[in-house]
Amino acid sequence: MAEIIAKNINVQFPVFDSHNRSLRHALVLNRLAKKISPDKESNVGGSISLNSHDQVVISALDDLSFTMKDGDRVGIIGHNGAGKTTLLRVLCEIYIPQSGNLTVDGAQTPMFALNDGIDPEATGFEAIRSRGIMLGLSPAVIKASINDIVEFTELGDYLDMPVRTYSTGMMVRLVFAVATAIKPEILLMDEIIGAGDASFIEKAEVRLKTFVDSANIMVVATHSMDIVRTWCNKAMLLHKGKIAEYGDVEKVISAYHSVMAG
Amino acid sequence: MRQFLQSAWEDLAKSLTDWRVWHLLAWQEICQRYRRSTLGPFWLTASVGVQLIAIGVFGRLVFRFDLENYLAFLAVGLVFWSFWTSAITEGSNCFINAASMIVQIKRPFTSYLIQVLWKNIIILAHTSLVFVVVFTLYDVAPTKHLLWLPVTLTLLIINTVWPMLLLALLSVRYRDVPVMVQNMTSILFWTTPIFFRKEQLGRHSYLLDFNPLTHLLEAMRKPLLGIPLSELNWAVLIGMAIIGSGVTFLIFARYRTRVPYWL
Repeated sequence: MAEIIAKNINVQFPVFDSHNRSLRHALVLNRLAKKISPDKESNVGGSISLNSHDQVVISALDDLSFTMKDGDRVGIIGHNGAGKTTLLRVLCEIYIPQSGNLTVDGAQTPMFALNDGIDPEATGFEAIRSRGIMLGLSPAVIKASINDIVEFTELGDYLDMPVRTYSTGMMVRLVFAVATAIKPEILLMDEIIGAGDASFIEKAEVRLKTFVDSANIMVVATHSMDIVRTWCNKAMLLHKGKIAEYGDVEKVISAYHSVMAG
Repeated sequence: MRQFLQSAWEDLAKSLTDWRVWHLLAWQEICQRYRRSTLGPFWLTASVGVQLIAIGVFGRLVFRFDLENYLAFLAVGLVFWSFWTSAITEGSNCFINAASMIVQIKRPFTSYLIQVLWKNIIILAHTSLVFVVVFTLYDVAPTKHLLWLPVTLTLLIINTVWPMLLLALLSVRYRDVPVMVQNMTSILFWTTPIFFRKEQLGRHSYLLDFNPLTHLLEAMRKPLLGIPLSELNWAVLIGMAIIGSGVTFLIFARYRTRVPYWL
């Protein structure tokens, strides 16, 4: 049983320059921020403004409300800087929204970056172990699922080589295999998944189907409409930190194309 | 505020139950640094040993220290110093250095802190070999005061951890702080009785009691050399542990969730 409910969540990033990041400046003056003019509009990124403390802030997510339930496989799409990665990090409870309410019922398994916590000199097997520990798996559980992981990665003898010799795609295979070794309750994936080749994408799809069909939630941020069409049963279009469209995959994709066309 | 305190408490509890994560990463960091070197982390033991000989000879020639007692005294000072400075400087950078991981993986914030502490405790265990060598060479026999060591070391560690956390929070927001810490520690080397004895300051020796680091150092040195801790030592160590941890925990609870935004 997994569920995510967001009500009017806002995420704003303070932008510190070297001046107001320093203690001296915070103690003395903080006027530089006023130079930003509010009417220069850009087509990418969230809106830039001043907050009540006269600080430059970027509004990365602006008043988002949505629900995700068991069985939802959501593809998040949108232009560069639309807030896809930020939203994933909010769902993972890395960024706690400044305002609004977010309830996440279920444990999150993030798959955002490939090399965090992995020593480049470690072998594939060691990397599987450390990645597993980082995701909170016990050594016994890792040991029990090692065959399944090895088989999925198709890396064979490479698992005895240091991971610094791996290509990005090979690393994606390894990280994905560990992240999905134990049926995750809420699987969160960033665009890196696109680095896998066609055969990996196909295999991953089969693997995801085995557990996302019945229960659990999967959220993937991507620029690939193929991944959205094959993996997801819902899509969300973000535009400048707001939800432009959420729901039926085809409807959202066509909205995406019209946004991209300008 | 209650909500803040509770989540901060859960943060700490979770990092203690997920001890495997910080143990793995601390260990990995040590292995990474000394990969392919023959001595490995014992390089640090060797480096403390060399410092000991250098300052020992210097002290004998210049200050006419009696070498026998002085080397044991100095050994504790240097081992303590190498532990404390690297715990504090690395600790104050613990969020900044882990910036990429903090935004990729959900991990309690205190886990990053404990990782740095644990790494330095492992290294301390290596550098402590210097004691074994010096104490054997100069026949410094353990006394009943050595039994206090677990208690005094716990106080030492508590009084190292809260400044680490406090500085880590400040550093991530104000980037002058890590540089300031570095400058401060180099001054502290000269104002803490590491290589000189308190008594050498004569009637000014009370000044050293105003330096909290003196008490931290004595928490380690006195039990090892068979001297009981003074009442002032206990008062400062226990008082700082309670007040320091309390205040730091409140600040941590309040600003914990802002850390990823400040990176």
